[in-house]
Amino acid sequence: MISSFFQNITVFLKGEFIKKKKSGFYWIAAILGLLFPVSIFISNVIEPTVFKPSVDFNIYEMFFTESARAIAFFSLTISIIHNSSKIAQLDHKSGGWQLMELLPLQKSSIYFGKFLILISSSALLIITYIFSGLLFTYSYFLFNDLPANAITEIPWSFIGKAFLKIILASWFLTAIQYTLSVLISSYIWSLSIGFLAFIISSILEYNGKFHPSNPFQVLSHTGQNIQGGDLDNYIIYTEYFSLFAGTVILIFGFLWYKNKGFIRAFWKSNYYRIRSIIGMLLILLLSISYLAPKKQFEHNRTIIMGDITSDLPISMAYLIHPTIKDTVAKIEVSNGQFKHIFKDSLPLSNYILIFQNYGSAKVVMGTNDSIVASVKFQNGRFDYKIKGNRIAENNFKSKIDEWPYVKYQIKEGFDLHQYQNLQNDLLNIAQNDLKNIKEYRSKDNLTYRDDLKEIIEKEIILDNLLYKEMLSKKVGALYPEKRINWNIGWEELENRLSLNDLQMLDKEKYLEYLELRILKNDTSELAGDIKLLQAFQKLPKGEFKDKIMYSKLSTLLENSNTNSERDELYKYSKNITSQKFRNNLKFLHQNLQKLGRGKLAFNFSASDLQNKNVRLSDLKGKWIIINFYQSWSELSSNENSYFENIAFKYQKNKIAFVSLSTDQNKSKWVTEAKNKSKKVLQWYANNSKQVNFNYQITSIPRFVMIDPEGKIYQSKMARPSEASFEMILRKALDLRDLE
Amino acid sequence: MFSIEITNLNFSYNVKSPILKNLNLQVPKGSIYGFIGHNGAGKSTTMRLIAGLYPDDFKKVKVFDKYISDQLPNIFNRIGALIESPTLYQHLSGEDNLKYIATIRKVDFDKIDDILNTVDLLQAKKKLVKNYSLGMKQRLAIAMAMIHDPELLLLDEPINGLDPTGIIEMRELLLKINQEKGTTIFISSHLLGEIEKTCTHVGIIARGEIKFEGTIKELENTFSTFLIEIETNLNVDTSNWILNNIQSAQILSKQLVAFSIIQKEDIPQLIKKLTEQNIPIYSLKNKRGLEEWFLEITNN
Repeated sequence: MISSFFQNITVFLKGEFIKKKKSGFYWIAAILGLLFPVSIFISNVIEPTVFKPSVDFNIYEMFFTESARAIAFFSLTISIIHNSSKIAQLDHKSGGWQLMELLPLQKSSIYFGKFLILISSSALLIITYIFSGLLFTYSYFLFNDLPANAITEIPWSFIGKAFLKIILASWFLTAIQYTLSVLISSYIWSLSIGFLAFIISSILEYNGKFHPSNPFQVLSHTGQNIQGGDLDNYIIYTEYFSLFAGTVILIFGFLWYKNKGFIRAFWKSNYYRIRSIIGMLLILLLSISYLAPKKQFEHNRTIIMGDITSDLPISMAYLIHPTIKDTVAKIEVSNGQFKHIFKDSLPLSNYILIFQNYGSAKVVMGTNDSIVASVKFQNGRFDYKIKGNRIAENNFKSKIDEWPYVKYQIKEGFDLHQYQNLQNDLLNIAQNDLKNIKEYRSKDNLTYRDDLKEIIEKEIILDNLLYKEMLSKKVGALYPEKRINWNIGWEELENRLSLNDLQMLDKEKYLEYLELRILKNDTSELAGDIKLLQAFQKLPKGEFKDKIMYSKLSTLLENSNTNSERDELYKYSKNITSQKFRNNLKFLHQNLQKLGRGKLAFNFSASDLQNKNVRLSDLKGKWIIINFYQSWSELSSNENSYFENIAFKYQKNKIAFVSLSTDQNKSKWVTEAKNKSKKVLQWYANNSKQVNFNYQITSIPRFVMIDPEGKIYQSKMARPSEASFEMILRKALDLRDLE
Repeated sequence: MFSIEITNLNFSYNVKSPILKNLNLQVPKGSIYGFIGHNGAGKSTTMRLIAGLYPDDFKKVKVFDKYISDQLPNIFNRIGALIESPTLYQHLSGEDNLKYIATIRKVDFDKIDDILNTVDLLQAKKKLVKNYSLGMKQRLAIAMAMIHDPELLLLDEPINGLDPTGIIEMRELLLKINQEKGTTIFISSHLLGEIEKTCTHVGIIARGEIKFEGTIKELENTFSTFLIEIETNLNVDTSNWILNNIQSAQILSKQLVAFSIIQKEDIPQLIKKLTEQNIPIYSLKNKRGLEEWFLEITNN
């Protein structure tokens, strides 16, 4: 029976190819497939693409990744709507549907055969897109420079997967539009319905309203995720759903067509009715439960692990708290692998995973989470992917992106005399935002767990409370005699966000809010920072107090310029219970003091371009500015050119400019440094570890200024790209200020 | 042996107005069966049921001694059908239309020219069908229906829209394939006169019921009397004379008299009798043939 079906369908397809002559059926698909590759090529020729350095990338893969959404959501959609209507119309117009019934053709061959032809036209469109894309990308790079880290091999396996993904995603829309076109004999109607639905979906898409049951958005979703999902899966849930829903609709349409009417197919007797209702309920239930966003489960341990592909010698990774800057875990990296199991509980937070000073990744995790990070360093570029059981949380960007007018009014200080209305409006917005927290779905239909939802709610409250404080402050300054009558709802919001919430400590805004609240009722004449420290001092002993004091103190220490100031601040560290924090502060304090103005600068040794040994002390008698840099860093190379220009400008003055490389690879440094300006001394640190430690180099580029006696003048100088760099320099050299 | 056999078929789109009432039909193998009735009498519905276009849920229709519903769609390897207006692909040429059918029916493309020759469309084969005349379209549709030498040909109103020569050619064509290939032809029409001459069997349908079914001979035997209408001018005497002397006479008015006679040969004698009595004859009409009877039963 199956072989006879295939025989029958083959005969049908042969006939169909005679029939669709001159209908422009495949031409439209091919032209739509060419549309974007051609226009992208033309626009690239007119205005060549500027490639930013990045990790290795395949030029073809990049082209397909960037254009897939336009193809799937626009070209393919139009082709499907047009061709579905056309293929049905060919026979509606001439009574062909009846003619086919008077031929030895099985109805299944007719119905599914035509559908296959439709799919084949979509396939033709995608193939045209792929091959023209390959050709145009290739041609483009014949005449334009290929970026250094570009891979030019044709990624066949990626292309094959992309092809399959798009076909799967188109299945649903094709089935709907085809069924509609067969059932509605009017060409204009089926075409209009299709395009109207497309326009509505485009509007939804534009407004960020995504639902996986919308066949147009299924296509768009595939176009946006042509690389696959977050779980090493190249087929994503919308594509599986498209296959399922499309097939269900196809079978529904077939039964309708075969039985010549809805009633005969589904409703003619009680048996049929019950069968139809149960079938429909089952399909609905399956779809709803499949499309409902899923939450990932807890793991039985708390683990962070991963692998690193890198051309840099990375031996350590640190998981640190984003605001407190406290190291939560110190992880050894060996053979490009790392793994850390937490013994204690870990509050759910946005942590930062730092790989020495090469780069950092944001990681959301908490107790009983297992996080796997794939990290790539190449050509000074950093790329990472977080997997594990917090996929949604790590991909979700919490953003309070709507900007209601009332916030604008408060921020800009407009209409402040209507403060009563303003506070009322703001409260309404806060309450509304809380009610309408957007549903989030990752590529793979994962959503965050309730613990993150709680944090999201608190973030919304926090944002609005900040505006409330801002309003209160501004109104207080403008109308000192007036008092705002705060609505009762504010109290509830304030109660929901306590002033010692450990979980919120990773948000800068929370710290800001705390400071606002603390300083609000303090009328003493002290400096703001001291007021805060004194307020924190009064907090009950515990983790919260430790963390917030540690955070505040370390920032203040790092930002203060004189040793006496730092000594004064350091006194507050005795209020911290945690030995670890206290040690850290002590260590930081000591190191910073070493770099205070007038302290002797660490006299390191280095090699110059002639491979001669040199020391910092060789330059005694001159002012010195040292540029600590590494050749892979893009930021460094930007600053280098400013640095060189300034060196050229002051070449007659008693000042030496040193670019000190702390690279691991000396030969790489030699080739690069040889091309640089001779006005800057190109040195290579013999012991970069020692140098980094003594100058507290935690990030590059860093500029340190040393006086003619070899003492520190500025340990954290502005960058050459900033105007103050030259001002500091001129002041030290006793030169007139620039006009 | 019947090519088509329908027993007690009822059909309706809704319960209130039945289209076919207890319909029985037997089309002998090798016959040319004229299925005659007015528009709306149920011809097309019957045709569609025979062709399986309407579902035969209660298994009342047999084709080649088996229920049609059990044989779809492969039965169409043995049937050729042209139902209602010709279904042709207007954007294709006549030849391409036949190529399409030949492909589906797995018929050699060599046969296309033969069949085009048969329906006299060989010269027009490259022309697009949308430029064909109505008659050409009709002939092409018939060519499409019989390209595979079917055992049974179902033709719904095939001579609709044909000019007189076309009608004659069509009759000849049907006779030819019936005689040469033994094809059973089931042909429907609302005009009895046009197919009477070709048919071996006739079925007459009116308001969903079969009024007559049999061979042409049987039909002629049943309705072999003639009704002669004579236009004249009568007075009391002549009227009385007619009523007294001619048995089958019916005086319809002063100007019109009708006579029933058995055979044509009796007409001259009737005229002779009337002229002898000085009854004027202004005109004479033969009022009753198959056609008249057909109109009578179908018009009621």
